[in-house]
Amino acid sequence: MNVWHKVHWAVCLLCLVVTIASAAYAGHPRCSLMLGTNQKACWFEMPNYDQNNPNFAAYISPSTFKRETGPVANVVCGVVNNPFDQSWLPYGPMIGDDHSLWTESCSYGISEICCPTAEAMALMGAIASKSASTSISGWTNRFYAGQTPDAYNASVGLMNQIGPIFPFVPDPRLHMELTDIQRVIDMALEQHTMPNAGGDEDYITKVEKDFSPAAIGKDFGMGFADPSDISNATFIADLEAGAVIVIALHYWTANIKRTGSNSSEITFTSNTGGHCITVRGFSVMPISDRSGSNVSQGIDTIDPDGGFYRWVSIVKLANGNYTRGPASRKLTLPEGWTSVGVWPEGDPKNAVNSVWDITDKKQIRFIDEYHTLKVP
Amino acid sequence: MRRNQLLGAATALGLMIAPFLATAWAGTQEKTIDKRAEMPRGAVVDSTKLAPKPYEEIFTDRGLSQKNSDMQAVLPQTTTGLALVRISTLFPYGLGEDNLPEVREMARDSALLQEAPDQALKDLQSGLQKLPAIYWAERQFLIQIGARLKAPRASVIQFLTAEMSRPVKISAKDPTNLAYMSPVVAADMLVAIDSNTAERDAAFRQAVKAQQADKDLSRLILSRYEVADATRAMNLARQLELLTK
Repeated sequence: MNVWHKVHWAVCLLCLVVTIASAAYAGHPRCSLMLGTNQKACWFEMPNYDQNNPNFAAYISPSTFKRETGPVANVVCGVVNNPFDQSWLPYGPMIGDDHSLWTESCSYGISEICCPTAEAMALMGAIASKSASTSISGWTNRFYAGQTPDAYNASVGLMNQIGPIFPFVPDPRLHMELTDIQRVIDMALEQHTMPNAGGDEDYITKVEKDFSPAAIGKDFGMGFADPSDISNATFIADLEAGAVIVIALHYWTANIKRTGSNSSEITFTSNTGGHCITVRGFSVMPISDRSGSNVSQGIDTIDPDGGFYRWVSIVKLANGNYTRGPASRKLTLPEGWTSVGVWPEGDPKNAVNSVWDITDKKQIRFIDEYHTLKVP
Repeated sequence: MRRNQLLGAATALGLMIAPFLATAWAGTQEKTIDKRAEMPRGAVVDSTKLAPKPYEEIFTDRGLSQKNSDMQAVLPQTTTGLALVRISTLFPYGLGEDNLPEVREMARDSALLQEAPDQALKDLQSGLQKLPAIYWAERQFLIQIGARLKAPRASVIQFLTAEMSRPVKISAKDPTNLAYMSPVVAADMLVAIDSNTAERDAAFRQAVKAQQADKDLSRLILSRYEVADATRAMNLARQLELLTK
């Protein structure tokens, strides 16, 4: 064997190692290589999308899905014949953005397209992490390319039937381009999202066959069945397994009924509305003595409202009887759940970290929907 | 022989399609579970929600009076400073899409900041110096607000570098306290807005040196640099002896 043969074999061996390493890594989030064994940070690379991008106001939602559950105001801040009432931002761009009708003393609602915005970010993350040998076809391919879905027969693009109402304007907050706007609209159409009343949030679980080899889409994660199972560990396990995640939060009102001088029962009633969030990654950090005996887990999320990052650690509430001194409380969660993750709210001094933090009529957001897509 | 071949082929085919059948069956089961768990929805635009509501009423109704006072105590009493008070008090109620007065208030206040970005950044820097540690989630949100201001680029980079360098206490008692992620959020924003390699390297160098007492935290901050430039991030970690455990 001469030198060239040796080089040839060495190159082949190197290629094989790289291929195996790439295959093993593909379809997984990126994890930092510089962290220690007891410290870990992994994340999917995905864009930040903002559901309030003013360009959503420039395009008309197709009449097929114009099924708003309540009328959109025809007069917005004194402007008669609201030009945006059938757009993806039915009250127009927010104050400070180009073409806004809002004024200092007059403002309206924003759009209800958080779920397609969240799912579009997650799907972009899944595509970015896929193996080089995995191919994309069908709807997902058109989504990725930022094309108008053929099925809806849009004449010009971005589902504008008579527009656009105004030309594309620079993104005032993030860096969303025309293709990004189109992707969110494509997702909204598939979810049957109503611009003023929301829609579904599980379309990422339905695009499995657009990938070859096929992806795995699941409602309620890779290894569990309902909200009772959602915890920090669930997020971390699914992310490590290579799944992007979209969750939905819904408000529930706590009802406290006194059953004795020192005893009460807590039940919950559902509220309308909700919000979708994209989960981007996680961090595991040893705390206390750094030996890993006490570990802090952070879940890295992106809120489609503004595209803001938010680190959260999920506290769980579980059914049961609780006592503290002479006081006792019985907690019964809705929908037959045995436990549920509480989405952290704004005031740390009024946070719900245990059953004792719940007050009558307090609104609490539960993580009650969970969707994953694992692309090979 | 032919019969054996057919049997063999049928067995092989069965083995091949069994996992797919099992997956399809499991999928059907999951869809059933999904249907059962689907939430009632339909966020009807409620005219009462669209009605204007003064800020004082919003924070009182939400039980955020103490938080409002805490924010008033640390942020300057300028137009932009007061906008930041309202934004941070209403975080995260001002995010979300349920046509709440909080959301409209936050939109108006964000517009006020964008009208005077230089002053807003100064007020933000001043406020974050004194913001109590308990409001770590608010700090992480405000860092992102600051990073998006159309203030001079050098000022925004300086602001983010200072936040990346700010000492943070890791709460040994409370694993849900993620205050230590605040420099990481600032690092994420720096990577998002600054593509100048020399500038970015200088910012990370300064921040990691400032946080050097805690190697875990330093490495965590550098892990965000890895996203943008793995080679330089590794070089920096090596130079500062952060790769040695």
